[in-house]
Amino acid sequence: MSLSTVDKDEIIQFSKLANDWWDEEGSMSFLHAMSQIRTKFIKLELIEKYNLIDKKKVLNGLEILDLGCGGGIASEPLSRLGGNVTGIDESQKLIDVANQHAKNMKLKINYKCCNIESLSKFKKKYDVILALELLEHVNNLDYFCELITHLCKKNGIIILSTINKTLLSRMFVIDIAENILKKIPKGTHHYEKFIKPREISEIFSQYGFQIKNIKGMNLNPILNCWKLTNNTSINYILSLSKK
Amino acid sequence: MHTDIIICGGALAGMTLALSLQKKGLDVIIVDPRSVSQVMQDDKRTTAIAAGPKKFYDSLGVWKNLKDKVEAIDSINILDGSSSISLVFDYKDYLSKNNLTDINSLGYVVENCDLIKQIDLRIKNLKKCGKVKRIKSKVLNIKIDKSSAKLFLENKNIITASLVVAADGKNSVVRKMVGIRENRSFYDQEAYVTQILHQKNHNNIALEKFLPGGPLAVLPMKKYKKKYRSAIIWSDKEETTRNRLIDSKKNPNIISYELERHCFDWLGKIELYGDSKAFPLELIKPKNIVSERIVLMGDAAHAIHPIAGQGFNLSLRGMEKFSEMCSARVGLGLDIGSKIFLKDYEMYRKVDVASLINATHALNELFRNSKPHVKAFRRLGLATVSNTPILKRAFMKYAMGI
Repeated sequence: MSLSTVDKDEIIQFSKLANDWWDEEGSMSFLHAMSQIRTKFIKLELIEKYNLIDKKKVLNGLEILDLGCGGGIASEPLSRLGGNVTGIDESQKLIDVANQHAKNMKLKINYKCCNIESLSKFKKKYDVILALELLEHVNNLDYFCELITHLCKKNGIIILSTINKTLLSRMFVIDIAENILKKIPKGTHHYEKFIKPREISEIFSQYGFQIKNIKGMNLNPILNCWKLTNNTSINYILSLSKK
Repeated sequence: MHTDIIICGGALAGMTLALSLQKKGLDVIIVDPRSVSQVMQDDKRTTAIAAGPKKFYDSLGVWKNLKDKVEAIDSINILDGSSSISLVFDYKDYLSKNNLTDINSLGYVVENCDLIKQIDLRIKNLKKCGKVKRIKSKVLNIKIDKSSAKLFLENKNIITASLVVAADGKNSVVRKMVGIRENRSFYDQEAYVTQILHQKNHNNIALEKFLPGGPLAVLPMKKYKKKYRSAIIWSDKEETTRNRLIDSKKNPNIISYELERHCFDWLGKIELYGDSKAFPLELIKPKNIVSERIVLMGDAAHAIHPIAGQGFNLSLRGMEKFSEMCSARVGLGLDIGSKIFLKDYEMYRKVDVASLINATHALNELFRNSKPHVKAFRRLGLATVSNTPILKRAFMKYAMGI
């Protein structure tokens, strides 16, 4: 079995979407709408973890790594809040989109086209590691998670968001969102790659990381508006750190 | 130069919004060819601020310094000029039935120049918040691209921002530049605006008298040199208003006599005070109140009939909502010029704006009409409202903006 965590087919699939990545009403509209509550969760977790004071540049000084950053939808808000953000993605097309957009927005973000394996070689460690809507697209999940823990500082925090493996998630994400509503490009998701929170907990506990907080992310499809809830049966976001 | 938000138009609306955004930690540049003192000199109007929007000025820290400049409206007396039926809204009656303890009046009357002065002081003295800068120049051109708006000014400056607010009045130049079209309808009415000094105390009563040519509003003001004072906003046929304007210079007694007659003996002897002005009345309804990286605010977003004194209150509600939404977005590091964000704001505002436009429009038509059946309906309507406490309370709630 190959140890690579990268799924080549997935990279090709996402590169196709590069052109309208930043169109809030385009094929990434779900991610744009989701961005608000994801950033909210991340900000609150970081404020608690590092005792930050909520002001304009609240994340000043934090080294943040955004894995699978795509066109930079998650990286940009965190950079605006003062974080020192590095974003990596396997698709050169998407990194180009991300770089161009950050330049237009006058933001300094360190985007790199590489995979997590090659980044690990630099031995640089981060305060915050993000893998948002990513785990459901990688191969060899265990190894990927191990690499994440190597990149994270001892007192660092890992924040992951992905899709639960339940009947409900299969129905909503694949049957309804992709096939019926066509809100998400068809073929974006594969049910067998969905992950239960328990699986994540088990993998990370081998490296001393524990789930600190977990929230469900639920969509109101009519308003295209997301909410943080306690219902984790479809989309969820969680934070992990060492004891 | 780059900032969060550029506000085109630095009069009452633009400055209020600037302060509100500043308080939320945003950096703002105001662009206006006039200085603050010029704006104060030009704006001789008075504004009635309803109890709800007054709280907004409270929260901005402006109201506490205006105490000796504003007069409270405790009750509104509505008269149909062609019948003897009257309708009285008294706030005490409303409050006692609704357990509202933080409201002390139906609304307040303030001179725009006093309000502007206090807002300006507050902007200058506010510490630990965003920065507000005022550039004295004209906007020549606006260029919008995917990530920012670029303004080319007459003084050769080029400034960029995530978002541009057009608060440059009902004939907004910015609105025109960015290609937002509007529906206009003229009322063939003009408003005659002046102040009066009078012999008797107004007892904090506002009068709204519906006359065939249009409504006459008399609003209580703070005393001027120990003399009782009120503001007049009198909508009437264009020609009549023009004549009134001429009379107010040549023969002011004619107007004060007319007013005495309309007010019965309520205010006693009346004399005109200060400048008189006339404003054409029209309904201006832009097709959209947002466009790419642009938001319309104040009169640029909607110019309505002054019949219910609600135009500026409507604007204040918009500004409060907009600042709240901006601040939530900035707190999450999100782009405030984003398309979905602006559309969200527009959706929130649409209902409020549309219902007020329709209500004021209909009210004006209803009371101007002199056909017998309409008059009968009007009498019946006023009497019904007057005798139905629930209806009366609903109207009061609306007038107070709470």
